[in-house]
Amino acid sequence: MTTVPLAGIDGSLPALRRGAVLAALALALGIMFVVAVGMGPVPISAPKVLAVLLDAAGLPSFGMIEERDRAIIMAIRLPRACLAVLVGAGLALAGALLQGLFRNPLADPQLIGVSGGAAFAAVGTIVLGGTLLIPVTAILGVYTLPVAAFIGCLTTTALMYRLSTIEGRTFVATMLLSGIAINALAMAGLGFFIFMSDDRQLRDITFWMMGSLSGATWKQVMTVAPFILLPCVLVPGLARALNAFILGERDAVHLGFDTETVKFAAIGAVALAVGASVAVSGTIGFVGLVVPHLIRLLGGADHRLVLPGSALIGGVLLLAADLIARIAVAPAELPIGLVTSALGGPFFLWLLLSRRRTLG
Amino acid sequence: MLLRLATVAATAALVLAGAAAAAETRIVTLGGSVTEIVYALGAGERVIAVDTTSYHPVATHGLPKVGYLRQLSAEGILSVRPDLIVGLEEAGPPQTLVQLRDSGTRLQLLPDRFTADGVTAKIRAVAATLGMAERGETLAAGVAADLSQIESILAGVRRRPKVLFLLATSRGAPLASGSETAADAMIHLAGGTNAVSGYRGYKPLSVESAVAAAPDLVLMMQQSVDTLGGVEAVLALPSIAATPAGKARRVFAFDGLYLLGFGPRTAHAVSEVARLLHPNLPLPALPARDWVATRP
Amino acid sequence: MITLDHISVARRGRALLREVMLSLVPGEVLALLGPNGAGKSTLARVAAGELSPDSGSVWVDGKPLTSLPRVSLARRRAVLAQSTHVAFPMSVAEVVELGRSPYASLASRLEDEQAVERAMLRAGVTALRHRSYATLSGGEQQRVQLARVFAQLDGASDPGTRYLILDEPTSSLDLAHQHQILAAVQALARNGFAVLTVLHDPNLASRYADRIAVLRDGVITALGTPAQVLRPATIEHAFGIAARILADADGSPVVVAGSRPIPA
Repeated sequence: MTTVPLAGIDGSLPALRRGAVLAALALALGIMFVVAVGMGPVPISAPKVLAVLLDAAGLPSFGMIEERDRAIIMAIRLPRACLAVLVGAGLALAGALLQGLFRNPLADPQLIGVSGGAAFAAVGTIVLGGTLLIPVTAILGVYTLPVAAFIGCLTTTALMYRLSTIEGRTFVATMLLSGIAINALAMAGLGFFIFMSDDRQLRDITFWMMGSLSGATWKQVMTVAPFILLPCVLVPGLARALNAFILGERDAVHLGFDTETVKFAAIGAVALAVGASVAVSGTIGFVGLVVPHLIRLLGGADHRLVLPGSALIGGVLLLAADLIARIAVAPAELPIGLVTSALGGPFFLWLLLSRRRTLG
Repeated sequence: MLLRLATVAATAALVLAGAAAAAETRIVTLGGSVTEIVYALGAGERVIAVDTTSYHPVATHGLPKVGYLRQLSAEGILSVRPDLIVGLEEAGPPQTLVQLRDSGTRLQLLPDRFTADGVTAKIRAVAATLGMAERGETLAAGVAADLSQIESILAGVRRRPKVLFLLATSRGAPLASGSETAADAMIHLAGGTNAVSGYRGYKPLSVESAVAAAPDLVLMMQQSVDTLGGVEAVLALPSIAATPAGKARRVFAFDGLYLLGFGPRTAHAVSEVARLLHPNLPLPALPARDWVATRP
Repeated sequence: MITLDHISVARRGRALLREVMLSLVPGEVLALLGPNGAGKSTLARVAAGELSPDSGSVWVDGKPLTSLPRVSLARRRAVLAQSTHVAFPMSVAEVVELGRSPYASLASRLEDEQAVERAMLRAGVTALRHRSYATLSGGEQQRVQLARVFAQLDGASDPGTRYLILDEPTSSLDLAHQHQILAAVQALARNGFAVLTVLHDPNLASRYADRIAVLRDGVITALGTPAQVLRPATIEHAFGIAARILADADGSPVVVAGSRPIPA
């Protein structure tokens, strides 16, 4: 066999570059996190923020710490920033998984009914919470809506998976189409709930559909974290298989991948991450769609980069969007979904137009 | 000497009490009726921010808005550095309220009941929160007197015209108010009966059920009339045109907060609606009250 | 050796393959010829394990195909389709590197890189390495895919023959590219690989195949060297068209189809 001189081999470079890109993104996430915790409608100087954080970490602090500053940073900004990172990572990771699985750059949790099911269930509890669902709300209290959204998400995802699986084989194209059909059904149901709703419920629905991280608590962060972190930890194991999916499922099989397991694991991870995200934040659009494109622009289509990179960018993006939501119209607040759509829409259009130029 | 000492002590006590009351000079009010009450009590200059449902009196228009009553942000409210937040129990979301409490800022939420007693209780509660119990008593007594005057006149009236309250939002069919709504309460206080019964809350109104309800009068919020495109547009709605109220062109609109807020102007709103329902009844004019001086 | 033993496949009541017996031997290129709908692709898919036969079985080196662990099978047997659409923008080197997927836990990064280099060199795509796959011509794309399957079969960890199964690998290519691809495949067979390829053109089969199997209606009607198989009667029986056979300079048969026999 011919031996190839090592000079000129750039095979090791992508691996190094991947590491470098991911490290840079992790750094960006760290910086954005500090900025998000440091900024808000209540002006708190940087040294004071640092003092509170040092004190909270059990480290020797300096200067006087005002109780109000501590309350704002520890009880409002920190849990909110953590939730933004989790939700952003969860939604973006789900988008990357779905696009890879469906080999479709337009796939995202909102297109295929994963979040539609959650929205249907959530709006259902808003409208029926005071009547039909009284026995449920009596037990679950303020957790009725998040629990319902989570279950709604898992149910629609499971339904989509079942509909497209015949004798142990899952047909990806069928899954995409049945997802779109299920989404249409969920939207019809949601429309019916909106029709039934009164003025106040309608306002609640509207705000929920535009998403918000306001009212983030440590309890929410702790409850949601496992559902999002578990996929984040496990999903990189699917990266090589999803790379093979870029060639097509048939080729992935011939490259030795257990594609049925891959499909199940990917869809399961999407359901958990999206379900948990939507449950605490409402529907936040465009993150799942746009973020995977961003990372591909930065470093190519290799899922060993795209999956963790999407999670990191998702976190950065949602921290930034939430910061805008918090300070743009202070002392009031913008719905965060409004911010992500306002940023994501034009970006996506630009992406389409520039693609059209290169691909003709 | 003793007298002087007593006078000094009394003065000191007064100063202290005044200081305690004046301590809270940065108030955020949440809910239109609560804001109105604070202004009616004469504490308007202490209000530094309000929610978006608070738009009366005009003095509120220049204040920072902390967002919609049920979609508040804790840090947004804290950023105006309030020392007292007073609002309706409806305020939310719940986590924001928890965070506001945890911040150490005084937070007082009050129930909203759509009855004469509910209004006066709300006035007294707001006044107590502000340390203005005395002024609150005057205000509550005035509103209670006005309401009971109307009530006593209406008590002997047998004919109770059927009133349909219509709520229009930007979508689809207008909603009709059933029982357990502010509109239902207002109709009853003004000596009418709700043309729609059999359900709670607001439901879309079909043409057939509107005809079956056969209202003598249609009551609306001015905001709803504007949404639908004016009174003529309302009269042209199939569900209204076919009713006695529609044929007699008896569609009347009032500002939403004035009509349904159940704040200090409630007695005057009841009186105005009652005049529409009972044009032949000798309803005397209510005494002039400084808290109803301006109406948007 | 891959052995197809009494393979029958039916779909919607129609028999696609009937009791087909065929063996693929190390070192040979075996071409499947036949008209559309004869069952060529079905047979290739059965040999690749994509399709389970209704009856009969597939053996790889004496073991049932279905009993082999999928990853070690992937290191020994690669499949190349007519054309491959790549869903996201990827460079040529990245596509070829996908062939190394089955070695994720075995080969070092250096070994993978060397295998990728060898594969690109063999398929003649080294110069394209930084190009985006989507911008290549159909012929270039197919050569990149060929490099990808070369990289897939380039490993010493699993003993035994390497198998390559191709389903009409040249159908969308121009003349020069057709020959480039098949010459590369033939060179592979000379190194001990076993190649099964579906072909449309009898003359390509004549030039590059060691053996030809002719299918018609799901049955092998002729099997042997090009000289044995490519005869007027066989062609006419399989394709339903008259044909003349000429001899090339090296003696290999050249099929001229659609021609009338020259009167004596």
